[in-house]
Amino acid sequence: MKLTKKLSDLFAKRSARRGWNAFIIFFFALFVLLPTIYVLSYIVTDWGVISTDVLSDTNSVDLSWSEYTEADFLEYEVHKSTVSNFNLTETTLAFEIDNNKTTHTVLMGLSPSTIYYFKIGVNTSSRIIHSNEVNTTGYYETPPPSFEIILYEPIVTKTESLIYHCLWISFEIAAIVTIIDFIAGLPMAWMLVRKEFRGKRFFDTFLDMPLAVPTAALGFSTALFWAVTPGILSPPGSLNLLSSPMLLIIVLHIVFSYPYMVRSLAAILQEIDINYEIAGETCGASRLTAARTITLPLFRAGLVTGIILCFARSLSETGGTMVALATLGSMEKTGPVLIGTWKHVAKYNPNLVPALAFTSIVLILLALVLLVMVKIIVTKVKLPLKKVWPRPEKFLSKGLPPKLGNLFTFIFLLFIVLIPSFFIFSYVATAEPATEIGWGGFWSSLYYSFLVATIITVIDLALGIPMAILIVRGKSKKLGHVLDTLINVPLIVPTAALGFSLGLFWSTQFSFLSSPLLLIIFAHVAFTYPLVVRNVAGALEETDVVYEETARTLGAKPIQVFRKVMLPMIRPSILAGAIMAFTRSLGETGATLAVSPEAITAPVYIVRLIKDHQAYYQAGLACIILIAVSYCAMLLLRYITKKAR
Amino acid sequence: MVNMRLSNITKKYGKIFAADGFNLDVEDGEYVTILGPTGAGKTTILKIIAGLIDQDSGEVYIGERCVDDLPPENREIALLTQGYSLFPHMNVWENTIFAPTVHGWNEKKIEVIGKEMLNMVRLMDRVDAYPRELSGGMKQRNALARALASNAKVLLLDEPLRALDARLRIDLRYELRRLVKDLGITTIHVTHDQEEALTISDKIVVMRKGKVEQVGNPYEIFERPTNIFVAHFVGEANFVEVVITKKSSDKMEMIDRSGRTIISKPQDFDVGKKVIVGIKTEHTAIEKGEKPGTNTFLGKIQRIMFLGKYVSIEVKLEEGKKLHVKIPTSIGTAFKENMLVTVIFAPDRLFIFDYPEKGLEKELEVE
Amino acid sequence: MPEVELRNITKRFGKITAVEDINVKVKDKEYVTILGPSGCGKTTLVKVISGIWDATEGEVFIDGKRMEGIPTYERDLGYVFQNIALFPHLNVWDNVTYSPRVKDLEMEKLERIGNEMLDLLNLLKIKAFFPNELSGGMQQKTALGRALSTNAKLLLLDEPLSALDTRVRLELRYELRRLVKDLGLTAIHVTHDQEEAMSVSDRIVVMKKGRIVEIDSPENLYKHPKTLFTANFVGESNFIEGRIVKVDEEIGDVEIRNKLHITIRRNGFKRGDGVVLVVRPENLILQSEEAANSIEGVITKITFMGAYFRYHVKLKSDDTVMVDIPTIYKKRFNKNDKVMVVFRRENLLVYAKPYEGLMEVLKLE
Repeated sequence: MKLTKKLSDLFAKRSARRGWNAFIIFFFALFVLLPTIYVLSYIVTDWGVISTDVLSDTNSVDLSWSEYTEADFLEYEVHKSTVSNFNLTETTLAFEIDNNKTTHTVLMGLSPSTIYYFKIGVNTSSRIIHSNEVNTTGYYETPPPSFEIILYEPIVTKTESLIYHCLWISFEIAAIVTIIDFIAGLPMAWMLVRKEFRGKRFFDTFLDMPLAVPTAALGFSTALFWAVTPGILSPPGSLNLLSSPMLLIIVLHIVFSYPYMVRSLAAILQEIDINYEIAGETCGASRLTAARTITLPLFRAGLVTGIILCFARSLSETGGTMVALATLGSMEKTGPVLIGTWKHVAKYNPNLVPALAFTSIVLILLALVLLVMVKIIVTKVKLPLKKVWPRPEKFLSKGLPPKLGNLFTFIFLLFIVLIPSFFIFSYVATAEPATEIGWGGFWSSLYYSFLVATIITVIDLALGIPMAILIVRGKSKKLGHVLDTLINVPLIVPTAALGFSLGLFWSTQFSFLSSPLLLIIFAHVAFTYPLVVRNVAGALEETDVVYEETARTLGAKPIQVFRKVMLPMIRPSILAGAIMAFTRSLGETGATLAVSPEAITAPVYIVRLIKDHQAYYQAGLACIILIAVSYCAMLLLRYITKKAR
Repeated sequence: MVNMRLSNITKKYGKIFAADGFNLDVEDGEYVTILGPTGAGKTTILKIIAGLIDQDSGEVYIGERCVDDLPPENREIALLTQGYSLFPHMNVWENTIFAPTVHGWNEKKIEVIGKEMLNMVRLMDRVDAYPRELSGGMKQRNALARALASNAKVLLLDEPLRALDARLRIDLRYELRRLVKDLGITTIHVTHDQEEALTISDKIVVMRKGKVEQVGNPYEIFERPTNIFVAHFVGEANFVEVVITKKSSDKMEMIDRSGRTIISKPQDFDVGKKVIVGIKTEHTAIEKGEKPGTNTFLGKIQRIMFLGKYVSIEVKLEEGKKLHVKIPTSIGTAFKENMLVTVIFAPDRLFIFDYPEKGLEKELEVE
Repeated sequence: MPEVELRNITKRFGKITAVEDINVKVKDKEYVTILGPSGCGKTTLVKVISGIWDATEGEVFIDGKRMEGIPTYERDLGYVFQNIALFPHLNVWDNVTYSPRVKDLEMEKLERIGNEMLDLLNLLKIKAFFPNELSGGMQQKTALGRALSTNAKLLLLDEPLSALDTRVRLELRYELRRLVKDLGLTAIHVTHDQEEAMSVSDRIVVMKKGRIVEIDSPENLYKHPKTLFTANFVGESNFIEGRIVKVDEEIGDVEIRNKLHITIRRNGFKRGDGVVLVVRPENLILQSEEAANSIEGVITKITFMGAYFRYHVKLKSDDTVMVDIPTIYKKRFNKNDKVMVVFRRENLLVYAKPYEGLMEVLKLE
């Protein structure tokens, strides 16, 4: 009681409030914004390395080999030479790997005109083993069984074009996904906002379900449903339809981005007074004409939000994409997958850092530029609204055509979004229980994930709500605008790039802080913080300031106003923000991988199970556990916030 | 309780003055209405008094103390906003005791005050209802109870009746004034409704574009407007452009564009000056047929509007100008559309104003 | 030519009945107002007529044609909204020509209609302005232009003036009626403002709690309301409760509280009937001298109302009555003066005492 009184007296002082606001901005700048884009500073400081190692027509080679499973393992040695049949010496040693599970690496900066030869050595406590030799000529002969360690056929690519190729795929997919989401999401949003029908509330809940499923689980589930996979991965109902990695990723990304699109479209639609449309109809415009000439143009500014969210989400996604590709057995990579893979390797081979930095920089810059362009295009370019086709539009407004449209929307939701999301249940229910790797690793990864998600949710709430208040209710409108724009940056930056950048920032600037757990927490705060801020800011904007003003005039001090008036009114949005932050953190793979390869969160563990161990059944089970646990967590969160009244 | 003074308040938004050298004196326990069209800056004044907006210059005094450095919660005022802003997550009781609770008064005192206030506004039987379950009138009463329970010395009412049905508004304005007067609390009430202002106030401040146009009691504002805007805005009036032709100790003669002679009591204008004569439609008389003489306007009835107590008659003069007459229904029923009538301006009811710089039209704009 | 007929219209929202069993016939070129307190279902009615909502039961006829299954955009009507609802992304010109445009009329025709409308409403000067640059009155005029440019002969007005300042409202209501009559339209206007209703309408439909109370011309409603509710809702009235104690050939004698008596013209009531006497404040006379059919009282409050003074007089019967005396009358009274309040028989309306109690019937919300 005394403490609250002291606090409320303290906050009644303008100077105290100013200090607090300064602290919030400081936190945002140092912990969220700066680390997110820190990698851009590489353009200035390390451009030389980037241009010689990455951009000057060099090759990179992917090596993978069989795992050494004996207990006396010390380390792998990766050897490189320009002569064939070379002996393993200090001079040929490129780098060492002290983890026997890491059986894949990448070497860079190889000249295309030179032939390189590679061997893997294994250091054990008693002896040194070496593998067969491979080279970059493209000739590969299966080694005789006398080799204890087998080096598989190397993949040689031009580094620069590999990067561009992966980035291109990412952007292409993001664009296609966004367009499909928009086309299929608009009618859905329309139905949710403008129509009353039976079971609408169920519908509403179903729509959000994929959001609570970690993308790694989604990726596995969706791949099982759609992809052409070997028999054991084709449970009853599996379509076995897609063999193209591109198509599979698109389908997967739609699953988790569709709800975002529908939600943001619905939110805007909700704000557009329905009377505008009705007014149009009373002027003789058919339903479709009214919607197209009135609601759609009003929509435009808000449309950007939906597009940005979808696009950024698709561009960011790593875990699910990795899982889906692995399930399909494809070697294709998207930008974030490339970063994730390389970062894993870079731990042992620091030569990869320039390439990683370059990829992240391009990804961040392109994402920012593209989204600015989207904003400009959507707000500036005029849709051809003046022309009207009364007859066909009238035809489409009545009777069968709208019904067909609704039907199509239902089918889309059911078959493209919901069934693939939860298809994994069908797999686990029917698949033969397979050999297990042991569950200990999974439980500890689950614990790790929850620890991180809980901590970041608390941090987000504690520091995100004041930020939202500062943005919406702050004295300076300009500061609010600036903060509002900046807060979106971490949302737009693909999380893998964000993770890499952030890891770089903390390990180079404040190396004493760079324990994996701390780094993961920082990274997850960076990309979930904006979610909470945006949710709360949105709610605050809609809450009339007169309630707070009235409370002030009735004698309430600022902190009392916050506790007694503001907080209860925006509670649903706080809850929504918290759930979003929590589930996003729980499901995140890209940032985690890019920050620290040692941090094994639950989604990362699932990706490993599938990618490295082909332990599909166990992965499936793990996915279901993860889904179940995150639903429980959501319910718990809901319960706690209700209780807190 | 306390008196109040606003001294030279100025507040600018971009290029627009919401308050432009605004002065106001309010006596202890006085009921003052600030009357003006939308956008006149009325609400801004209230918010400046409440401390929710900082003025660019000028001072606010409550009692003898300048309160400019005090935050809203320490000014001992209570503000009732247009939509009442009852906290939607609290019921009638919780809303009512909001101020006592945040002041941290003891529970017994809170209980007593809450009950007293709710009894006063006749809401004791709805203590458990949430704002969404209340009718418009009840919401208004609940908000009033909440404001009064704060022990404020000054009550600020921002269009407290606007959200209500027209008919209900008429009943509630009596009630509002009675409640406030019984408590003797100093009150400032903002409205755009002239009839409301006339009925409810001790003193009216007519405001336009951030400036005070006239201050006075209802009778003075209606019967002795000091400028065209006030004459037109409070009640309706007819205006005619004239030139003064003759002036003597007991009367003044004027002539309008169509050569009609108009006579009034002498006023402080020079012969030859172009002025505006105005008369309230309620003071304008009408008779059937053509009546000769000064101050008469011959015309045809274009339209008759039945208003209940009154009939409003629109008369079109030969030159196309329209005059309006508002007369009690009992005599109004004798008139029919298209009838030839004479409109008469009683000489002792005439207002005479300087011809406005920007023209008559501009002065008559009400929004 | 549009005649509108509502037959047995009922509209329910879940368990709540918004309007019940409504029958109204609006004649061609008639200006009809639906008047009632908030929540009486008046807006529901115009929404049903326009097809924005479907009636739960009953039928709407426009021009004798059954409207079931015909969407709003094919009903050929103009609609003006309470919250104005001008398209915010279009300027005045584009708003006003929206209807010709969506009907794909030729450019020439479209421009003609647009110019006509703007001219009619005196809006030509602000043609290029966007809604957020206009004052409330201008916005509503533009909205009116948009509704009229549909060329529909039926105009629905849903509280068209309630978003505006009182003073602007006063000026626009003149304009509304003038336009409707000049263009020969049929208008259905919804409002809660009794003065607005009286000033614009040919007939008024008074509604309460989803049902029609009565339908009549403004003058009849004001002078001879059929119900106590109307007497109170359409203009203010004084209500005095009493009992008929004597009836002879021409007059009835009503005993009110404290054994005082007022005489009324003879009507259908019998001796012993409980009645409520109703009289408008402007129909009472105040004087200092004794007079026939008067009751003594004391002036408790005087309010200046612009055109008249309102005296609150506490009668010896403990009833308080309002008396309005025009300011042009020279005779003035002061607070606490003893006065005689004269009841003229021809101005007294008599109603049976309602069994649910007078206050209940008069309730405004």
